[in-house]
Amino acid sequence: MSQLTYSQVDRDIIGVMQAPGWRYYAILVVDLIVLAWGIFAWRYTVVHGLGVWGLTHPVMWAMDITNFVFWVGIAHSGTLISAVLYLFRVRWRASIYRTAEAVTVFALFTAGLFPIIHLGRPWVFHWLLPYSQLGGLWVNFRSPLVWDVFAVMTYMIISVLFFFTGLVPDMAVVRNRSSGWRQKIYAFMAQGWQGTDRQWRHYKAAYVFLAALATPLVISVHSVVSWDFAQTIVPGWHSTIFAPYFVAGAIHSGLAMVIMLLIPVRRVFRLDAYLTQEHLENLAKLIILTGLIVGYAYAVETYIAWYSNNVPEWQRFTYQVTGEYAVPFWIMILFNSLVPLLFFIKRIRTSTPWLLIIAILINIGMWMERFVIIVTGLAHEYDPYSWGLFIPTWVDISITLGAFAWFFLWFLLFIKFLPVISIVEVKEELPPPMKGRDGDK
Amino acid sequence: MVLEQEREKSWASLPQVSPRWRRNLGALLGFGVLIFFLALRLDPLRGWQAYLINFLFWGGMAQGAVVFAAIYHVVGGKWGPSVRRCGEGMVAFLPVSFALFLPLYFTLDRFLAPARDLNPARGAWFDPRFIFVRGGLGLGLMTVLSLFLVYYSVRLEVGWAQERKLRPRRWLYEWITDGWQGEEVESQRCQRGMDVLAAGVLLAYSVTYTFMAFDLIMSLDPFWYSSLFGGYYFISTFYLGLAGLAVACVLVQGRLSPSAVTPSQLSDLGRLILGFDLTYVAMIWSQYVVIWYGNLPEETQFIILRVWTMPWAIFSWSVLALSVFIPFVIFLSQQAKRVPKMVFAVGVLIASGLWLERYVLIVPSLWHSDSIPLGWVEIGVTAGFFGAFGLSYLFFLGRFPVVPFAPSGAQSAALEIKGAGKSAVEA
Amino acid sequence: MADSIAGLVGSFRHVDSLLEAIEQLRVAGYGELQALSPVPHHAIDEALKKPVSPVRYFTLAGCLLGCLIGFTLTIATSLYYPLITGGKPIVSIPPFLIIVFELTILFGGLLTLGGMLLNARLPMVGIGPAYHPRFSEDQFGLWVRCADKDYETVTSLLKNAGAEEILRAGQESES
Repeated sequence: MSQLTYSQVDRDIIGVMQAPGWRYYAILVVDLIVLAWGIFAWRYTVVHGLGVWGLTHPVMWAMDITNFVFWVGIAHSGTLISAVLYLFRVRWRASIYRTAEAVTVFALFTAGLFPIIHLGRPWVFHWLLPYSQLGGLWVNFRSPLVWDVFAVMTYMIISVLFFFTGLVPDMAVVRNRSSGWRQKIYAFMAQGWQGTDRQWRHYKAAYVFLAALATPLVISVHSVVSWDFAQTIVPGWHSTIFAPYFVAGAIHSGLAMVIMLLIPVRRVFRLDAYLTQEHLENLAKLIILTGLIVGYAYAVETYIAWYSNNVPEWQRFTYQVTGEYAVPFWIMILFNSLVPLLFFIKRIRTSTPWLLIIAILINIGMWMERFVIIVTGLAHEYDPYSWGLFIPTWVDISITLGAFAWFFLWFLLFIKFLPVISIVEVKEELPPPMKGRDGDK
Repeated sequence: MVLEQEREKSWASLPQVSPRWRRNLGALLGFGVLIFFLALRLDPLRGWQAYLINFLFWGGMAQGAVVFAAIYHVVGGKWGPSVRRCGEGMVAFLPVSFALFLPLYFTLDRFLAPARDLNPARGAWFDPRFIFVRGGLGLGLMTVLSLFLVYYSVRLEVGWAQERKLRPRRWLYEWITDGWQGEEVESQRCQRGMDVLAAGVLLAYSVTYTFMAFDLIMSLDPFWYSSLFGGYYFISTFYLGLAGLAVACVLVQGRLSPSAVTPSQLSDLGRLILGFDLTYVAMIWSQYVVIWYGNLPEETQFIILRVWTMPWAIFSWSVLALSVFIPFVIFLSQQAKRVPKMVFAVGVLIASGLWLERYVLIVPSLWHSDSIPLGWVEIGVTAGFFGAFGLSYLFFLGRFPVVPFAPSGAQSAALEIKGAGKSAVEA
Repeated sequence: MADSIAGLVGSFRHVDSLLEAIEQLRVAGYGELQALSPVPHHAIDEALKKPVSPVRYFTLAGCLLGCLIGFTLTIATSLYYPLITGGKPIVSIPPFLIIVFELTILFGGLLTLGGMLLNARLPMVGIGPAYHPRFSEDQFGLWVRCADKDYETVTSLLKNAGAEEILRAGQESES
């Protein structure tokens, strides 16, 4: 990467934003079709009621909340890469953090749909917001669901702020090279950026503090989401390890999603000079760490289920392993904690096909994990007479697929309208042009 | 060659540890042993309690510092090679700590029997002998892995010094450089060794310390459990290691090798401490809020006894003040992290808080009379352990240079430090 | 531009030339300098000797504000309409601390952004007279505010340091 010049960086990265070919449009059309189907399924739900989902006593939360937790989780790795790795002065973060941050923002857009989707009467979703009803009754601040509202809203706002702040200098570069209505939009987003020392100074200061503020969010937001479950006394849910377990799982799935998206982008737009094997390998190493933490959590939960002599807790564990949902359970164990161990082998973590396959398996495994925790917990609580099953209907599955389509739609638009790699940060990583080095240039 | 000169200088700066220090620490050790045996006669529970707390505290500090060195290696850190070496130095206490684990055999029954009587369902897994065996195996494994990690770290330098006859031959140096094959080959071999062992130390650490927490602390209470307790404990121990490391670095820089640790390295260590301050409080909070909300008596009684009941409440809130709040406020300031006195003070505060943390986790489960067991026994036993710890650490510092070589050989760590020092001046 | 104190803009291809120019001009007494660069560089900031950014105070103020709002919102509303939920006390601190934490971060972030925009004088409606698109691409600029009479001196200083092109602020470049 050190052979690159500043102008070449501009050309390469802005080159990604050129007018797309037929393949892009084909993918876009397929995506829009799936999204339309998902919207149709949701409209069907609103018209006919939540009964068209597989929800039934006692499982009153299933794929809706699974999707919510899954997408909030995906969002975390982006902030880890852009904020936490920034504070640790990790250099290889520069090329990948823009895409990772975009994944964060779009995953939050997707996650934010589900609190609305899973309401029986979504038109009163505003009751979740903190304001005073007639008579002075506010929302119940003691409820984990309200903590969710605050945590996810804060996370969304701060992530969007962080994302757009980081974009401002890049928008100046793109503005200079575009024309017509596009130039007007980029000029607006660039906010009149000129790169004066004054602007850089305050920008850098703000960036450091935004990174320092976003860092505790990485831990706290998914901790708050995990407390949706841990604060109850449902066997298998009421466990103190949930907060770090969910956070590690979130970063695990997020990193896998970032790898899943970086590999095609790198291939299609020939960005090998920027998204090198080393970058992918470092992401794989981080996945080893998060996979080990997730595996540790599985083991400790099992140990404590036995240690605690809590009969409902133990029966719920055996139900997971041998009951109706045993297949998703074993997929979860295999894909989340065992498969990532393959990354210990250098040949595997440096091979793009393997990286892609394992990333996809991890995403499947992490979705399954949310599903298993939620559904088996509710299906087998304390009283055997109230045990029941959740069986997903076509509506559940369609909405899930629609959410994926919504996420990918944003990502497809992102590729073409914004620089997928941070132009300014890549330039910062290059050695600055020095007279001494260039000789008589 | 500049590289050679730098390396020679780092060996030349090997501190002459003053015999006065050794005498004082030895006296503390002797005093501690005396007090301990006296306590065993007068009040064995109190004596063994103090012993357990100190064993976990000092052994944990040493292991936490070595874990820091392992993490530093795994992430390919470059910002503080001598900080790493100060951490590695604490490995000298680990064999001592393992030896100090063995006498616990005589007290495990006394500690665990009441809980087992109240909750017999736990069965053979909680037989004191089984706990002793698995604890011993885990600690033994940790000690061996840690020793080998540091072995590979110092081997290169000792071999280089032996080649040039910079130091008189000693059995330790001979043993370390056994099979020396020249700098080129050894450089590769030591890197490879450290790669494997650092990962091994980290993996073994999380498992061993999880079980130490479950077996030696959590099972003292008949009914309480918390799935995060193991994770909380190994984060707390790592945090303790960082605090000890901060104190050690300041002492090394102040008394032994002035150029070894620069203000910018202290600042980086300070940032790490700030980060783990927050991680530590997150671990406490994650347990507290879940237990508070569920309000299940088998879980809440443990917390209420320690946080909301006198006299233990004083200890718990002191832990928060000393280990969490005061260090956080001090280390928010950029400048404070660069001043050796402040870093030293914060390190001492955190370590004191974490000593009280171990105290308040263990003692309320065991001590059922009205008095507070905090007095001459605890001070004496703590002094004894401190003496043993200090002597072990000085043993290491007196034999290995604080400024390590970079194993790749391309640029010595001493040059890196000079570079870091320069940019610290520029910044 | 007929503005008599607009000044000159020199463009440089290399960072060290820019730094040398800054040094020379400061020594010669031309202290009103502004550098334009495609990437930030701490050496440029050091050479210009500008004060540390006050954005940090905005962050602190935001965090304190968020903390205050969090406590006030949760405690006051709970006391105003006291309802026992889940057997928890009316003023239950643990859940309120979570709300406080999130609002601390939220307001800290919002005020940090505000502080940056305010201090950096963003958004700017028009592009300043010294700017040229190549300063966002691969060249560095130095805007020296000086009167017409000093143009000769400044031009020669800039040329000595290695400036490629020297223009009046506001003038269109030939290249």
